[in-house]
Amino acid sequence: MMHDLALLCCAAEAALVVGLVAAAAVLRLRRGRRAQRDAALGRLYLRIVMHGLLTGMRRVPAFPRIGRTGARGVLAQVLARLASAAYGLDAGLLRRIVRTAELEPYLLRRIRRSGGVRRARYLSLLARLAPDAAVGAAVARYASDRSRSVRFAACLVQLAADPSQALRLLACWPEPLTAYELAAVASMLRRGMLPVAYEPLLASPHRNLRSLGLCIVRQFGIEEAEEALLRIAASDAVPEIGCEAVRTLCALQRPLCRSGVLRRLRSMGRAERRALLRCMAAEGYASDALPELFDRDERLCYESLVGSYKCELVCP
Amino acid sequence: MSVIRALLLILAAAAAAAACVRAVRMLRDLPRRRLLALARETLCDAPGGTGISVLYRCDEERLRLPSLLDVGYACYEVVAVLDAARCPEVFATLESHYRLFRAAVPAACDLPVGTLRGLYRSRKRCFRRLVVVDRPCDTPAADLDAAAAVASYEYLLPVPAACRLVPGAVERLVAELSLRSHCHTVLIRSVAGVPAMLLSRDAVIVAGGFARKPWRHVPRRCRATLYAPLFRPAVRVRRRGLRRGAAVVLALSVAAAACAGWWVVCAVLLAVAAAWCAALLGAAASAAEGGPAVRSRFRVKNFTVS
Repeated sequence: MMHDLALLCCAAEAALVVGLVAAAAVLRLRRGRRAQRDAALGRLYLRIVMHGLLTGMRRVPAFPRIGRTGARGVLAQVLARLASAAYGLDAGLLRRIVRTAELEPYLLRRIRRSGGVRRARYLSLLARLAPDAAVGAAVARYASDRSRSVRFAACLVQLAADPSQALRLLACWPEPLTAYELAAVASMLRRGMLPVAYEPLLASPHRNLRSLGLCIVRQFGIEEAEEALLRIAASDAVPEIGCEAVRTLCALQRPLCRSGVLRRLRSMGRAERRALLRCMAAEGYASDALPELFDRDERLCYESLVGSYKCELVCP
Repeated sequence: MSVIRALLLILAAAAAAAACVRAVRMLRDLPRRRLLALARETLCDAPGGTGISVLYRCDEERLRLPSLLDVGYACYEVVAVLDAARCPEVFATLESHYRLFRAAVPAACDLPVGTLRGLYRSRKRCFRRLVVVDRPCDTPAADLDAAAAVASYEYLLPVPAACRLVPGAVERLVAELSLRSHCHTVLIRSVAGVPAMLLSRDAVIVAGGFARKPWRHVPRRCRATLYAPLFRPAVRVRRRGLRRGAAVVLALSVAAAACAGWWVVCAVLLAVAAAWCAALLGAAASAAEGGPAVRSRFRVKNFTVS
């Protein structure tokens, strides 16, 4: 019995070792050949697209070796990275390149044939290529995928395809949006793909829309939203949103000695209050600007924090 | 005797299973890394205000500060602990290169800091990224406590000895923290490459410092494991001949044990081989994402294009 078990164990482990060695060899080969080929092709395609954009080309440039395996994927990545890193690009030329190279059908095929995080990655690529309404409708079925990253990437594609549905889509999102997801939506705003209207967001009864409104106010430095932020800090039913409103006021360097902020601070834990102190010190709030917000120990801690950012003129 | 053999067999099977699970998780991390690399611009505005302070002990001749400072993320700083009395030349070089100014040592700290001779901040290009703590040479845990006490951000990343940061490691950590913001993450452990961990400041304070091993007190629901490397050894010694020799010796040992009918010994040796192959696969997976280095004509350091 022991002999048979040992034999079985050895056979299974030997198969495992062979499998692991084969997987490592395949990965190394892929890194050696395919990654180099993709990198060289990506540089070439980027140069062609940049030349077309800078010279104001009307016709679609020719992309060498576009019919080869993986070349369309490389082109899609180049266009996606360019679109996400730049602002005010000629969307017309990019749309013509996407149509001529048939990138949307290629990506939709890839999305259909893959699953999990790979599917989310192809959906993210598609969201950056300014898809039209037909593509938005084609990916609607992935909005009920069991993977959260796929659901969110499909939502981004629908947002990019039809920005007028942004409020409805985000309000219907069933879970609270994470900071990463909010930042992804805000990056679409920065690219001009979605309208920047923070007031209806901050006044919305939906938690996700209020979170997005706070994110927009913080990223765009909208000081005019101070009153709305104070209202949220004072009376929002969701503690995380209220604390985020206080941190947003701090990031905008607005006065914090307000009753609304004091009310929210009383509900914060010690760790959160200390974190707020560090943010305030980093933002440059004077130590005598907040006498009634914190207790004596916290005020002493804050004074030493502020002192640690200042040049010591008299050396001991 | 049969009990010992049974125990050895069980251990070998468990080790092989663990190696298999680890290899599968490393391979499954590759698409996630590609997805997060695609959305790098999402992190430029510090989602959720997440900040990371890297804690670095300057205890070697060649400092790794330039590579640690070469990170584009906004809410990031390096807190370096140095004994200026033991290494006055190193300190003088840092002071002149980064234009350090002396700041007041904080009087009230959440962690025990011991003796702090001075606290210095960099004003090079008006960028507050580097903080230097001058204190007498002490244990690694005490130095990390002093660095954590003056750190500005919520999350602390101690640098292992003689290691450098993998490009994109900080962005990966921020992405993982931001993706999990609905459940507060206190500890992220990296099991690929050089083992490292990112801890929340509160976890270290509650435990009483790094000497109390704060990672042991973190509940499971607040932990996350990363199968991507954060650090790699600063000096890579190529030992191909040694590795090949060890592989040949292992293979011959397995063959000899199989021929002699010592199947339990063979199972143990194969478990060792499986663990080694899983480590090789992890190294190949982390290298596969790096790709060939592409030299660009533009160099951006601290937001200044040169």
